[in-house]
Amino acid sequence: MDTTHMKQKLADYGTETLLGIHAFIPEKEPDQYLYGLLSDYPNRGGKGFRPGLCIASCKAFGGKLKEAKFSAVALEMLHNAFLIHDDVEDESFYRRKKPTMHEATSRAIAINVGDMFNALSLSPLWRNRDLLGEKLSQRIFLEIQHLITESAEGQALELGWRKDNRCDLTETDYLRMILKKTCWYTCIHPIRIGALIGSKGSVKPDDFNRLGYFMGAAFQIQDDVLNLVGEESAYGKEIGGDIMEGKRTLMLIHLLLHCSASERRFIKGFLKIPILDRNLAEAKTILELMHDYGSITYAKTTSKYLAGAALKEFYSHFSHLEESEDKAFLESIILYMINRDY
Amino acid sequence: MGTSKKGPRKKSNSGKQSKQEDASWIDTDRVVNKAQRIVNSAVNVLEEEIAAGILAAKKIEKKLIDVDEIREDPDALMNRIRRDSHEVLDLFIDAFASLTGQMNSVVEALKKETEEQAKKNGKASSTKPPSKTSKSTPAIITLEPDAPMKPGETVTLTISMFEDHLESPKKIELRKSDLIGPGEHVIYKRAIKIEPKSFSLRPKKEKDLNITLDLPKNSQPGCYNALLTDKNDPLVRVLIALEVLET
Repeated sequence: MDTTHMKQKLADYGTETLLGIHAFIPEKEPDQYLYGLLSDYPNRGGKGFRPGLCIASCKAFGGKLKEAKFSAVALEMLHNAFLIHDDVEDESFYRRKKPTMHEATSRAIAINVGDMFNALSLSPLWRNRDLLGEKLSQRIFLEIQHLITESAEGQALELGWRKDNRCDLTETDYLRMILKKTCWYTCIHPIRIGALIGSKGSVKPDDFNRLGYFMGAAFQIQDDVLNLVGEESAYGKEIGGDIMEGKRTLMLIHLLLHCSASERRFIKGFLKIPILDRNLAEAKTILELMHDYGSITYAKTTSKYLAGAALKEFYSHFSHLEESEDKAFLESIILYMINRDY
Repeated sequence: MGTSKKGPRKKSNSGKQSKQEDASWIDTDRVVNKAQRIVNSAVNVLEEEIAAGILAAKKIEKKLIDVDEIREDPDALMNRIRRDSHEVLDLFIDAFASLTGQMNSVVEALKKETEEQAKKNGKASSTKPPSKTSKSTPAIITLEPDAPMKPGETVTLTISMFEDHLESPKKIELRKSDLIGPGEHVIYKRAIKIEPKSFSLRPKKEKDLNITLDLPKNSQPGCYNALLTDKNDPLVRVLIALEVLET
C-alpha cells in the first residue's frame, strides 16, 4: 500500500472515530465551559493513529469495523484527555496550529475538560458489553485500565525529571519513559485490543507487546525530531518547543552525554529556569549543539532501527493471517517509519 | 528562533562527528550491531516493566483479599466459593471438551486400526459387542486432603480403582492437569505425583494408587482443582480438590 493510500485509510478511520466521539458528548449545560469545549481538540484533525491501529488490527484478525468502534472511540477520547492535560503540564502554546486549550480558556477549565474526557471514555467501554459480550468487554476494560496507569506513570517520570532538572539520564531511561508514557497507549494497547476483538478473544495479546513498543518508540522519536526540524506550518506546534519546555528527548539525552563540561553546564542552567522565563536564543544554541553533536542524526537512525525491529515483529505475528487491505495498511505504516525522510 | 548571544563555544570537531554518524549507514556490521544493541536494550526495558507490573498487581490482589475476613463472613465466603467454582467449572468444561475431542479421535483411530488388523488376519469383523466397561463409570471421583494445606506442605492420598463390569485386563495410563486456583493462580502439574502412573486393571481386582501433592512454597492461597484422566478412556475422571492456606 502506498503512503497516500495509507494516509487516506488512517483519515477514514479517524473520521469514523470522530463521529463516534461526537455521539458520546452530551448536549447539555454547561456548554460554554465544558461540553462545547470537548469537540475542540478532536475537531482539529489529529492523525487518528490509535483508532487506526485498533480498527485495522481488528479487521486483519477477521473482525469488523463496527466491533472495534467503541474501543477506538475510548482510545481517542483518552488521547485527547492526555493532550489537554499534557499541554497544561508542559505549558505549551500551540496544538495543531491553534492555541492550546488552556491558552484559549484557562488552566483550570482545561484541566476540567480533560477530566471530563477521561470520564466520558467509560461510556463506549460500557457499551462494549452489548457489542462484544461480557467476557471480551471485561478484558478490554482491563487493557484500558493498564493503558491509563502506564501513561500516568510515564508522564510522572518525565515531569519528575524536569522538576529535579535531571541531566544524568541515559538511553535506557528514555526507552523506559516512552514505553510507559507513549507506547502502551499509542500502539501496544490499540493493537492488542484490536486483535482481541477481531479474533474474538483467541489471540495472546502479549504477542503484540514488542511490535507495539518498537512502533511506538519509533513514532515518538520521529515526532520529537519533527519538533526540531519540521516546518511549523506542517507540524502545528512551535518548532523547538520541546527544547523550550525542557522535554527529555533522545536528542537532549544524547547531547548531554556527549557535549563538553561547559556546554553541559550551559544546558543545565537553561533547563533550571522556569519554562516561561527561558530564552529563545539559548534554545536555538542548544538546537545547534544537537546538530553539531549528531544528536538528531542519532535519533533518526535509532528510530529507523526500532521501526525495522517492528517490521520483523509484524511479520512474525501477522504473516499467517489472510492477505487483506488492513494487514497491508499496518505494514505500510511501519514501512513509512523506516523510509521516512524529514 | 532568534540568534544566540549567550552560550558555550562549540567543539571544533563536532562536524566530523556528525559525518561519522551518517557514514554508519554504510558499515553493515556496525549498523547491525548498533541496531541490535538498541533493540536489545528496548526488549530488556519491556520485560522489566512487565515483570514489575505483574508483581505490583499481585501485591494489590493480596491486599484486597483478606482471607480471615472472608472466613468470618459466611455470605462473602459463599459468594467467593460460588465465583471461584463457576470459573473452575468453566475451565473444566473447556478442558473436557478439548480432552474428549482428542480422546475420541484417538479411540476412533485405534478402533479403525483394530478392525483393519482383524480383517487382515482373515477374521470377520468382531461380533462381540464393544466393552461396556468404559461407559459404565461416568461419575467423577473427587479426591481431597482431610484438611487445607499450607504452601510447601506434602500430602499423599490413596485411591482404589475398580471396575464392576471389566471382562479383560484394561491398561490405564493416567494423565494430569495443572491445579487451577482462583483468578490467574495456577499450581503446575509437577506438584502432583501419581504412583503408579500406568498400570493394568484386572477384572474383579482393586488397584491402589498413591497421589502425592507436593505444594510449592510460593503457592497462593485459595481453592484449587486438578483433573486426572485415563489416556485411553476419557470417562475415567478423578478430580483433585484442595485448599491452600495463607502462610
